[in-house]
Amino acid sequence: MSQYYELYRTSTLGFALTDSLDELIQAGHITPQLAIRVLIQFDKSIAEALTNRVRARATIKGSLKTYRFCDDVWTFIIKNPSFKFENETITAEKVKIVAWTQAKHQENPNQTNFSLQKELYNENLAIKPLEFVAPNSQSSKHPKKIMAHFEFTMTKTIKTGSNGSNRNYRTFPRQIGEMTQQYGIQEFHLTFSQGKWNSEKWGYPPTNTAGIGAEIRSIINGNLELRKKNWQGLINTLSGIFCASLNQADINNVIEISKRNTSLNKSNLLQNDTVNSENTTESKEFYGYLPRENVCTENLTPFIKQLPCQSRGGLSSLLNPHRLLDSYYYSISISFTSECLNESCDTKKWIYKQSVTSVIKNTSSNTNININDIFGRQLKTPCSIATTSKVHFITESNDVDFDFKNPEIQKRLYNNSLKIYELDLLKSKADYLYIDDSFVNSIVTSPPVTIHRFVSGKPGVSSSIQIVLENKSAKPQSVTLTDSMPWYLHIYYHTLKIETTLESGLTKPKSPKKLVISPPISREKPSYMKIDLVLDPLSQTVVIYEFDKAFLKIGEHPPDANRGFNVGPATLSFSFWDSKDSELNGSSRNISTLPLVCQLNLIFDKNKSASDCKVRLYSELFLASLPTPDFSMPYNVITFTCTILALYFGRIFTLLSKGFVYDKAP
Amino acid sequence: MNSKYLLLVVVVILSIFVVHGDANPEGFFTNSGHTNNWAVLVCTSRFWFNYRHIANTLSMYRTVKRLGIPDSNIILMLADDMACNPRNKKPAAVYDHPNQSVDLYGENVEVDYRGYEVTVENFIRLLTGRVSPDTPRSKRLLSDEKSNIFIYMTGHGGDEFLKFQDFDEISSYDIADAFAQMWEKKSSFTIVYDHIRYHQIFFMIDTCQANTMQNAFYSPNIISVGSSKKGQNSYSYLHDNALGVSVIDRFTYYNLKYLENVKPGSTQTLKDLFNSYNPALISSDPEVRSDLFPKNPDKVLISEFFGMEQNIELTTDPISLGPNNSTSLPDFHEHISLKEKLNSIESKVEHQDSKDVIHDFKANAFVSYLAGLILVAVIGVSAVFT
Repeated sequence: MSQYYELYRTSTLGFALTDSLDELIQAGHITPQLAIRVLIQFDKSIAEALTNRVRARATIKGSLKTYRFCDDVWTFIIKNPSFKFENETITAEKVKIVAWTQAKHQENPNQTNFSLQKELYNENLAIKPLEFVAPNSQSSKHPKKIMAHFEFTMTKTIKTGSNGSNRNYRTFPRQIGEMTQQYGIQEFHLTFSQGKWNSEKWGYPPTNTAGIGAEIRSIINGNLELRKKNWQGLINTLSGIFCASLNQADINNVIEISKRNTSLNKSNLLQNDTVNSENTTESKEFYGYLPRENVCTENLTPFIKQLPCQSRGGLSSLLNPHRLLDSYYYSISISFTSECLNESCDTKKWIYKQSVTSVIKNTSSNTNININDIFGRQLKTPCSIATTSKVHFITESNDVDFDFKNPEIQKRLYNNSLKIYELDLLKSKADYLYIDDSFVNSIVTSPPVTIHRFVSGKPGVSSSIQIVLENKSAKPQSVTLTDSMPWYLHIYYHTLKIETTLESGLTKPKSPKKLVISPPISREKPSYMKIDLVLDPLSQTVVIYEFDKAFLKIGEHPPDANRGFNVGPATLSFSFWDSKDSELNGSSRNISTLPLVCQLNLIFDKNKSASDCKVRLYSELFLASLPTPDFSMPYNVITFTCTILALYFGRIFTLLSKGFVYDKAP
Repeated sequence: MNSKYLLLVVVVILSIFVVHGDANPEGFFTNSGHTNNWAVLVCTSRFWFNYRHIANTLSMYRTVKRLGIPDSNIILMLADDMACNPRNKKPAAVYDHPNQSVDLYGENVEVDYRGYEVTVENFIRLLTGRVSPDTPRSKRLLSDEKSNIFIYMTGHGGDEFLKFQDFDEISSYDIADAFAQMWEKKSSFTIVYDHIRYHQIFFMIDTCQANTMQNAFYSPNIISVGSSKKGQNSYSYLHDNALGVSVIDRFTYYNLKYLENVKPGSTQTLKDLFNSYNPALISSDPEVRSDLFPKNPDKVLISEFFGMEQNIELTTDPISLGPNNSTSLPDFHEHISLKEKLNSIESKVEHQDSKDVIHDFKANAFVSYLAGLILVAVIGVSAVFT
C-alpha cells in the first residue's frame, strides 16, 4: 500500500540494504517490522533522491520492441539500445525501461498516505430498538423489533481530463466509476425496499428512500437526446449489476422533473454570486418507480461484492441475507453523487453510499441483546481498510440507559432523552458487543407530519384518490406533495380539491402555494403532480382527485393481469429545519428533536451541518384493477371468424367455380 | 508455488513434444472440441404453487455451479420470486427436500432474468443473441463456436409447447428454429449472423409430454432428453407440509440424485446418466434424442456440459506478428480498426433486422394458423356439400 514503488529494492544498493537488514534480524538486533519500515523509507528516499538530486543526462536510442501500460506503470523493452552520456556511449542487446507517472507524487509531497487520502471508506451501523414488549414485570421491557441501519460510504477524488489517474480504483467500485463516466451521470439513487416503514410507531425512517418496490432517480448531463440514451444505458447497466428488472423503467415510464438545485448550502450562495448564478440553473432529474420489483438475496449479493471487505470482515460481514430479509421492513439502497471541489470543477469528489436498513424481529426473549442474536453472525475481524468503522446504539428514553459491559463503548448524551453509545471497531475488540438489561421504558417519539393515501369508489369504474396529510405539531409546516401515476390511469384534474380540517373541527378549502401538473401521454409518459402547501398547526389536510382506468392492449398486460397493477406511492418532502429560526445553528440546537435521518447524518459524519436536513415520506401503494380481458377470447374470435369465413367462402367458391349444366338424359 | 508447479508441468508436456518430434499437438488437450461452457436454466412458471419449478431450476443452478461453471456463464431465468415470497415460511431460502438440508438460494446467487422478464421473446433473443445493444453482459449468452451449452427448462407444458407464465407459449418449432439460427454461419455483409453460437447443446426439459419438445430439432450437434412421452404427465416428487407445496419434480430429482455423485474431473458419461433413469421411479418415460449428435452418448463425459473444464488449444501454425520493427505496429492497428468498422456495420445491420425477424416470425405463425383453420373449414364444408 505504500505510495512508492519497490522497484529500487532490486538494485545493488537495495540488495545490500536487504542483506544487512536480514543479518540484523537474525542476530535479534531489530524486529522484522522495523526492517520493513526501513525498506519503505528506502523506497521513498531513493525515489526522492533520483528525482531531485540527479543532474546527469543521457540519450537513449534503439528500436522499441514491446511496450505496455498497466496500473500507471509504463514498461518499454528496447532492442539494441545505445546510451549516449556526455562523453561516452554504451550499447547493449536489450534494455527494459520501467517508468511511472512522477507527477502523482509531486502533487502532495507532504501527505504521507496520499493514495489512501484519495479514496476513503467509512462504515457505520446504527442500532435502535423500535417496539417493546413487557415480559413479566411492568418496569422492564425488551425490544420486539430492532432497527439496524448500515451505511458504507466510499469517496474518491478524481481529476477531470487526466484519465490515467482515474483508472486506478482501490476501494471505490470500478463498475460504478466507469459507468458514471460513460453515461455522464452526475447523481443517481437506487433503492429496493419491501414492507412498509411504520412511521406512527417507529418514527421517521433512517433514510429518505423508503417506498415499496424499486425507485431510481438520476441527474444526467447533456442534451435531451443524449440524456435519454444515457438513462437507458444507466438502467440497463444497473439492472445487470444488481440482478433486477430496472430496464422496465425505460424512457416511457419515467418522468423528467426540472428542479432547482437546492443541494448547495446557503453560505456558498452568499459568498459567491457567480457560483450562485451558475448553480441555481435548473437541472433535470429522471425519476422512475417500479412498485412491483421485489428484493431478495440476488440483489444483496452484488451489493456485498462491491464492498471492500465483502463478507469477510468489518460491519459488512454482518450482512446475513437470511436475517435481514426475514424482517418487517428492509431496504437496500445505493447512491452516487459527484461534487465539484473547486470553482473550475476540474477536481471532483465522488461519493458512493451503500446502505441497508432492516427492522429485525428480536427472537430472544431475555433482556440481553447481542450482535449475534440480531444478525445470526459474529463480528470476528474488523475491516482494517476502513477509515472509520463504528457501531452506534441509539435510544430515546427518559430514565434508562444501556448497560454495556464493554468499557470501550463511549457514551454521548444529547439531552436526557436521546442517548447514543459509540463503539469504534478499529480500536476495540469487536466480538464484545453485548448489551445487558437495557431498554426500560424506552420510547419512540411519534412524528409530527404523516402521509396516507387511500382509494375510494367502486372497483372497475372511476374512483378517487384521497391523500391525507396530518400535522400534529403546534407550528405550521410547509411541505411539497408529489404524486405520479402511470398513463393508464386517467386523472380528472378539474376534480382536484384540497381541504383542511383545523383543530376546531372547521373544514375549509385550501389553496396551494404552487401547483405543477404534467398530464400523462398514453404509452409515453406517466402523469406528474406537485403541490406546495403549508400545513396548518394541528390540522388534517385532504387532497382528493378522481381518475378513470384505461383499456390496455392485450400485449400490455403483465402475465398475472388479474392481480392488478401496483401504483407507486405519493411522496411528501419537507425541510425539517426552518430557515427562519435564526438562532438555530448545528451546534446550538439539540439534535434530539431532529428526525432519525438527520440524526444519523450528523452521527455518521461529524462535519455535516444540521441545516440541510430534509425528510421525505412515502405513502402506501395501491392496487389498480384494470379491466382485464379474457385472454383466450382472441383465439375464440379467430376460430369463430374463420369458421364463418370458410362457410361463406366455400359456398361462394362453389358458386363461382362450378358451372350449372343441364344433365341431359341419355 | 503453484505457478512453479504449473510451469514444471508445462515444461514436462513440452518436452514430450520435443521427444516425439513429429507428434501433432493439435487436439491434444481438446478431445471434446469445446473450450467454454454455458448453462441456460429456465423456470417458466409463476405463482407460489409452482414452487417446485423454481426449486428444480435452482437445484440445477447449484449443480452446475458446484461442477465449476461460474455465475458469469450461467443465465438463470426465474419467472417468480419464491425465496422472498410473503408465503415463504423461510425467507430468503428455497429448499428441494422437506428435510431442508440444503438452502438452494444460499447467500451468493445471481438471477439474470426474473419476474416479468421471463418471456418467450427474451428467451429466443437470448439464445440467438439478437438483444438490444444496451443489454448488460449478464443478460447475454456470449457463446461461440467452441461453447458447449446446457439448456434446462421446466414449467407446465403439453404436446409440443411449453407455457411461459400463463401468458404465452413456446413451441418446439420456436426452439428448433432458434437453435438453427445459432448454427448459422457468417457468409457475407448482408447476413446478420456473426458466427456459430454453439459447439454442442445438451437440452433437458422437465414438463408434461416433454419428449414432444425435441421432435422439431433439426440442427446438428444437439442431444436432448425429456421427462415424459406424449400423453404422459411429469409428476412432482417430494411434498413439504410446512410450506404446503411440492418441492421438486421426479425427473429432476433423479437427475440430481445421479449428478450429486459426479465430481469435477469425473469420467461418467451421459450414457451413464441416461441409464440411471428408471421409468418406474420417475412415473414417466424419459426419452433421449441423439440422432443429431455426432458422438455416441457413452463417449460424452457429463463434465463436458455440467462443468467448466477449460481446454487449451495448441496450434502448429505459427502466427506471424510482422517484421520486427516499428513499422509493423501501424499495420496491426489498421487491421484492428478495419475489423472494428466491419463489426460496427454488422451490428447495426443486425440490430435493424432483429426486430423485423421476430415480428415476421410471429406473423408467420399467425398466418399459418389462420390458413390451417381455413383449410380445415373448407374441407369440412366441402364434405358437407358433397
